[in-house]
Amino acid sequence: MVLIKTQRDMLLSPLQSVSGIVEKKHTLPILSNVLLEKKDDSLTLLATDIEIQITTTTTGTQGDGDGAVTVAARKLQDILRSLPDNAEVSLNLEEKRLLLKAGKSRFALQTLPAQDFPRMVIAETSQGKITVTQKQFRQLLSKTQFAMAAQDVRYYLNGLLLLVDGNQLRAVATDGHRLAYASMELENQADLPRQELILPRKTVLELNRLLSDSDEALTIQMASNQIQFEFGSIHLVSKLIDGKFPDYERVVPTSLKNSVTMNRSALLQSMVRAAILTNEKFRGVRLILSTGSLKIMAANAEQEEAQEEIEVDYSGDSIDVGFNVGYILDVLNNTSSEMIEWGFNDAGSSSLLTIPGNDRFKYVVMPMRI
Amino acid sequence: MRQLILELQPETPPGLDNFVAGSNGEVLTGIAAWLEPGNREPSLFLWGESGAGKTHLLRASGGLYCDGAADPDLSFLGENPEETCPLHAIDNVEALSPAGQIALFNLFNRQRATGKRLLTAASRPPQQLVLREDLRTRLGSGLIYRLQPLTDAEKIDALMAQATARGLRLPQEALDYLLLRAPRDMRSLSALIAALDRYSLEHKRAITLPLLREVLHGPDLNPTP
Repeated sequence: MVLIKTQRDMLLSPLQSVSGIVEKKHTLPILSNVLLEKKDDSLTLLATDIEIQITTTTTGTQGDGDGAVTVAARKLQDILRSLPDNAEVSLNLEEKRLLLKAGKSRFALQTLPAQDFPRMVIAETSQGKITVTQKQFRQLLSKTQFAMAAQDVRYYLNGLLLLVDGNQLRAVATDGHRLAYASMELENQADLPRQELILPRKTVLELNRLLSDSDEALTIQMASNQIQFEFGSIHLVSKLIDGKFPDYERVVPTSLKNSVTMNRSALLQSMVRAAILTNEKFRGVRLILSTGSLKIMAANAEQEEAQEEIEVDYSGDSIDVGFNVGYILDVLNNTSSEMIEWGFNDAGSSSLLTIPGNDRFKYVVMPMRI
Repeated sequence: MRQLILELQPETPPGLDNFVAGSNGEVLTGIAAWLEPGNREPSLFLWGESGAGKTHLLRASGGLYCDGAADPDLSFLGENPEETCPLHAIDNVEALSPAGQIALFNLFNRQRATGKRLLTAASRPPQQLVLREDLRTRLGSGLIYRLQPLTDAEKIDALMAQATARGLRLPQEALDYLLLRAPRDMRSLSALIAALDRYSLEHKRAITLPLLREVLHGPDLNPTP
């Protein structure tokens, strides 16, 4: 039976949307597979790693009848990607195998039964629904996600806090060395009760990959242990990290003795150059801020040295402080404003980077003791 | 070079609810009952060896805390002679100087006369304390409780609970190593958990036996604030 007959891209692009979360190695073999489900002219693709599940539905699919099957997601994707752009592809369901034909190419893929495919149970009770544009939410994520921890034992740090309060949506991420905060206003939205959700790191990275910089709608549905995102033809369901995220407000310094405002890209370029000669392990740069000047210095284990100087409008205390250059590059690369403001107390306490005239972004970074 | 870390977790203040009682359940109930507003007994005396939990309970009482070892003259009271407080908590009374003993004696009488309370602690029971006789008998006149140190199994439970509260997991081999190689009183062990937390966050490493060895033998056990 010819299950599906379609253009290569009609199959490849939804497959690429769902297959990003498929783990290469898994104890459950079926989790390497993608579920293909055809009903009338609609085709649904579904992939999951049990923590996250992504579904896409497209219509206008041709074929002889309805059916559902699971096949290896990565193999199917690799085959489709290496076919010519405009290839006509047909998927034929055979006994225990899926036969893919395109032109004179033929591939017989092993299948596992669709009814064995694990699906996440969608939470029935909702604790609130938000609608924003894809672009707004993507910006919120991109300004914060780089500060998430990657493999911390404190599992709640390997994620991103989404905090809904009234008509405010906030995102916070921290790895204990620095913390990024961004907020946005929810327009045309009834006030929501305060709630905190911790999104797993993988969910955040996947959303950042899938969301577009468009004004198309993104609907976020929250439940006590689950969050759902709907945008375009994609439906993403993710478990939440159970735990208490640190209180970010007590970490953001409320008063700063000294601050300097400078051109973001000039600072970025100086940091990029200085970073070349930092110690590979610690990546420390030394900043010397004095009247009218910011010096950035780096030295590595081979006694090589870099020195950069930027003219700045500054007349506060002289400050001599060290930072991991990676943490500074992260914030400068992930913001787009012309100017950046950097506030300090002393070489042993947190510093704060902000965008002048914008209180919706904050980046707290702890220094290094040199 | 050393990366400084954000103070993500506030230190949990000592409380009656986070006191690991072990075999001291009765003492804990007794103190909780004594701290009830209606209780009329003016004085409670706690004794037990170092690390048994005296300071924790004194701080958890909500009383005005003063350590006789740090301030043997109780000069704090001398500076505020008319200081009236519903509850004073005086730690390490055996370390008090003669002047401190007089100050505590006066405080005892003042608290009793005004219907207020005094919580005291020492390493030995009142009859073995080397103090002024009038003070010693007064300390012995109220409620007296003895705190037993935790057993090894109870210490492990307590350390696991502290680690969990910080979002950490301690492998069993690390716990065994701690009890074998580290100071055995709960105060030192709790400080060690805090040091491990800082060190693992600073270096972005999981808590393993090698990391534990580095912390135990490194300068990080008592980080300068």
